[in-house]
Amino acid sequence: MTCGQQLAITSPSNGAVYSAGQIVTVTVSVTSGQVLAVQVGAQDIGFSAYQTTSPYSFSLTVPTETIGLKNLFAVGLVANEAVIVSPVINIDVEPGAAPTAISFQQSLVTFGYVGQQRRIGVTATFADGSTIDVSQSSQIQFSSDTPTVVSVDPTGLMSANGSGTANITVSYGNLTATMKAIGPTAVKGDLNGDGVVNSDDLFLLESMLGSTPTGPNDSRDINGDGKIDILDVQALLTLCGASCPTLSSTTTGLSASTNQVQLAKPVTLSATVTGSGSNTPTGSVSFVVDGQLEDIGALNALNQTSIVVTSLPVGTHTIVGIYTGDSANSPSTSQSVSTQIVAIPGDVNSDGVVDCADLAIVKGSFGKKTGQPGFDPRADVNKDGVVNVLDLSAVARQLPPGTTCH
Amino acid sequence: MNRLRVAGIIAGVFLASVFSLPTFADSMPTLSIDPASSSVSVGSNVTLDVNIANVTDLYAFQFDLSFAPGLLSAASIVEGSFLPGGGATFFIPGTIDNVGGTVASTADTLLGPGPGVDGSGTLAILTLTGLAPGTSAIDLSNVFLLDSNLNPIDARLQSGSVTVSSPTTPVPEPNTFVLLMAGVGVLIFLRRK
Repeated sequence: MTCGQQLAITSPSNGAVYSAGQIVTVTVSVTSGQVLAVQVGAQDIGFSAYQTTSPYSFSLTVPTETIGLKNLFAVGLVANEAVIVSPVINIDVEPGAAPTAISFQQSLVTFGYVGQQRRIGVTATFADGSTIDVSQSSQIQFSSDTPTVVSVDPTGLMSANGSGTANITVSYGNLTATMKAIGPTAVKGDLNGDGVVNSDDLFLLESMLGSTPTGPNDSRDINGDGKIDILDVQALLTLCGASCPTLSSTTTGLSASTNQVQLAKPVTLSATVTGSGSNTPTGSVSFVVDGQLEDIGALNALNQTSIVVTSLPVGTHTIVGIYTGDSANSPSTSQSVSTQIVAIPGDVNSDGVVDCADLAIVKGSFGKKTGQPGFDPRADVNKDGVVNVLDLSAVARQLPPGTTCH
Repeated sequence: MNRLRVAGIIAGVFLASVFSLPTFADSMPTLSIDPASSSVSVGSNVTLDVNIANVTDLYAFQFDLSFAPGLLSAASIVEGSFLPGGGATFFIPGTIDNVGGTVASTADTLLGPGPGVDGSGTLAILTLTGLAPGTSAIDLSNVFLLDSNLNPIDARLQSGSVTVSSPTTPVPEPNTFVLLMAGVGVLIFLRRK
């Protein structure tokens, strides 16, 4: 039991400011219950050793190159090797001296597509010529003069919103620095922002297939259907025209080792990609089960790949294989195949084995009818609306020889 | 001649069917309360067996029992020795309802793929307590007997009865009575004297 014991950091106070090299003295009190030992830890700073006697007082030294708000917390060891954690406070690590200048670590940032996000670091320079990354400092603030092109959030994360140019400004006290951010071109399909739609954009898009659009204006979602998929590749090929290599069409075939299998038994999904051109298809096939990516298999020299699935739940599942294409072969999607996962007879809790736990479920509802309190539909093995010896024996019969249950 | 031959055949079939009926009935398994009739005084317990006879390949069973709730109350029901003779079992004692006078959904099953049990024996043991004078039927219902293929086994049911009697008042033992009478005689003798 860990309930009943509570820790609190009584010093330093939340938001206390430190600088690199300083020692943070941390005191901890046990506000409720008893603990066997206490230690403290801080993000990017480290942990103390355990102390076993009160008063609990620790010293942590702030490493160099550490800037920004850091979590500080205490950990208490209680009985049975369980631990409790105190409420977290923040300490603010800032440069020990005022910087003489600040600057972005890049003077220019270019965005390829609407929705693209980037973060550029900020460096502070001091009177002695030393520098430090202050990107995480609580003292800096960001702003954009044209958020419709590129916006920036309080942490410095920039998001491309449209074509044009924006100036991103960072301030630290009275110091400021500005960087130019160029939004994506208005050329549809120009995902790398070089002004033309060509194979570079195609390969960029192929590498992002399956990604989730960052918003309704994400340039990668070329057809605007809310997905970044093969249809966008096809749309990009249309936009690209002669600037893109002529990709050979491919056909992806998919098969399942069985169309019906018991729960927890393996199903092997195999895909073969056939190209129409002279270049052998390379890359991978994504196996998608009921709309969710199950796994990715790399094509071998025979253009084949397979995966083994054992975790599908009871029911009928629709599976497709998606070949994502390469520099010479276009993507393709297989016809869907169906596999039915059936419950193991007697495995009423669907954990893949028939054991005493299944018998216990039947016992728990024994004598109950549909609609009565305590009726568990899983226990009604023969689905006749009542849990009786017909259900009990149906489970019992499937138990392995030598099984005993109480 | 032909009439006689037909009549003979009909008579033969009739006799065969008449004589075969008892044979079939005797071989049918019987689920019964044993002893069929018993007695208990108010405040005392009586134990009844639920027995099966002449069964083949019994793998699992279930039954309900009923009794007169004003006369008897059920104290317990436990597994008998017959089914465990075939291996590990899983026994569900069921639910005792002394207001309604039932023991519902008592069940037992063997575990695993083995065969059922053949023969006769006790499936469960019921203990009842006498509450008030009178006679209560002990009836079986909702009976399932299953073989190792989980197919039903037909069986005859034989109910039982329990007669509850008033508590008996203590009667002096003969020796005590004799001593008492002797003492009275001595007193009379001394008085006359």
